[in-house]
Amino acid sequence: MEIDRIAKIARIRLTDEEKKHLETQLNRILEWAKQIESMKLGDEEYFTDKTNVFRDDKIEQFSDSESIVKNFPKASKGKVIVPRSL
Amino acid sequence: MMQSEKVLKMEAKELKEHIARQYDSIEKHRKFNAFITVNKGADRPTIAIKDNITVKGMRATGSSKIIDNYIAPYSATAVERLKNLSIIGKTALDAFGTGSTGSNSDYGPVRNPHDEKRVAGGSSAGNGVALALDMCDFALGTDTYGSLRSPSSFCGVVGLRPSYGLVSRYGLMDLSMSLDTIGPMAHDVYGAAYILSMIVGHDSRDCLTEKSKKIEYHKELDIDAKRLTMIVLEENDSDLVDRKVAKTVASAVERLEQAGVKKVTAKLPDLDKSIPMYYLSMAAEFASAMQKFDGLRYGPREEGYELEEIVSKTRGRYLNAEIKRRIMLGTFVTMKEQQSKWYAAAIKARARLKQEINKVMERGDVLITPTMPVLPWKIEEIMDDPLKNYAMDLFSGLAPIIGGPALSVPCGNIGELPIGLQIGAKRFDELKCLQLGNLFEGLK
Repeated sequence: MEIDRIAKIARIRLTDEEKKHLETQLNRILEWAKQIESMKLGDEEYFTDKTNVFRDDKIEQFSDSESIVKNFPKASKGKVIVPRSL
Repeated sequence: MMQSEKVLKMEAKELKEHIARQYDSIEKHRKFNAFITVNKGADRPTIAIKDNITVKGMRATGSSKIIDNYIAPYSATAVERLKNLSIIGKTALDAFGTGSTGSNSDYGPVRNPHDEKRVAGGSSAGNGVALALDMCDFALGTDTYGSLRSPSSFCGVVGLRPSYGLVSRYGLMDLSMSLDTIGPMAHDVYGAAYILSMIVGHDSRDCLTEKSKKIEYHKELDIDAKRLTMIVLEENDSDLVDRKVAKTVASAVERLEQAGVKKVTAKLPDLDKSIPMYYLSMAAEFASAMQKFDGLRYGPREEGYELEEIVSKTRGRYLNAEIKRRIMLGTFVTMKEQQSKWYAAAIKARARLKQEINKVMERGDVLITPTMPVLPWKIEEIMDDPLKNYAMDLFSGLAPIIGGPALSVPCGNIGELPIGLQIGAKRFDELKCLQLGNLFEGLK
């Protein structure tokens, strides 16, 4: 199992000990999950009876934007400060 | 008159004394870790709200340190719809709903009110304890795959998972969006029905809520036993079920039969496959739902130079082991080269199980099983054994897979430990669950 690749995609920094432990546990869970194969599944479709439900995009004024700003880990003048992404 | 009805009819002085006793109980039983936040000043019948449901201006942690000290800027629709009740506090859960025990809260394991060395059931663990130890009159929980029925069973209270689409999930921190529901917990069936009547109905902020006719469930609980047919699963007596639990549930079935409820039996040979099916599909949805917890907009943030470094360090530090396990599993089973073997297979298994359960449901009005197949484990017994933990969900999937309702009512004790009877029904037929539950309460 490519534990480093999975952790990178999942954006979780793991310690070496966590990686070792998780690899053992995930392999055990997947081995256990293989019992689904005995159901001899064919063309079953779960989501065929579902349809998308759309609503119009409407601008609504949120009355208490200050309460959102207060939750930012880092903020300046009512705006969230985020790290560089490029 | 049941306990919930009495509270709703209390005079002001009596109610004030009653609420004072609830605050005393919260203080006296702090070691049970039921509450994360307590709201002072309640002056109406009280309700506890699970901490993954938002209440404007109150802390909402989801029991995870990754949003420790988050203050909700808005209330969930289900909370907005509560009338003439006081919110007494926010209760602990397995972080973001990841557990059937209550031990996976970042604010300490929630302890069983009848034996503090044992688990309380989860994830709506704090609610179960708060009701059992008389810290509140009602509670609002969530149920993805047993989350409010499990603690109802282990703590000896009543909980109803409503049909998918009956109650708005706006304001709920999602675990598995194709299965998540918000539902009531209470001391008795009347209380659960009373809260359900308030919170149901279409909400434009949750596009999956149905525009169905509103029912006042608590006013329609009486039914002639002879008008109901219960389906009893042969798997109730399988090797995966504790002998004492199976015997207690069989005795409850016998009492219902004696009261006039017709009984038919049915088989679900693939029932045990529903557990791995759930853990694969839930993990996929959960990994996606958890992406928003990245330390950028709320919660603590680790230091770093670049975005990926900061997000990975924050999540590595503040997500607990079970959450990491589920995100890693969900990421793995949805990777391009793994998807057809794992995630697609799980979805197909879910489709097959849905057909099989719906076929069984056609044979009667309600489906009877134990809520939990085992007695509550000792806390240290399950901490690092995911498979032992997951096996507790044997009967939890019957309702979520068909999008239907299921009620858990206490049906007996083994020593001090209560056993829950699960009553399921077809989608949007919660009234049948509540009517049979109410009938059963009256037999005791």
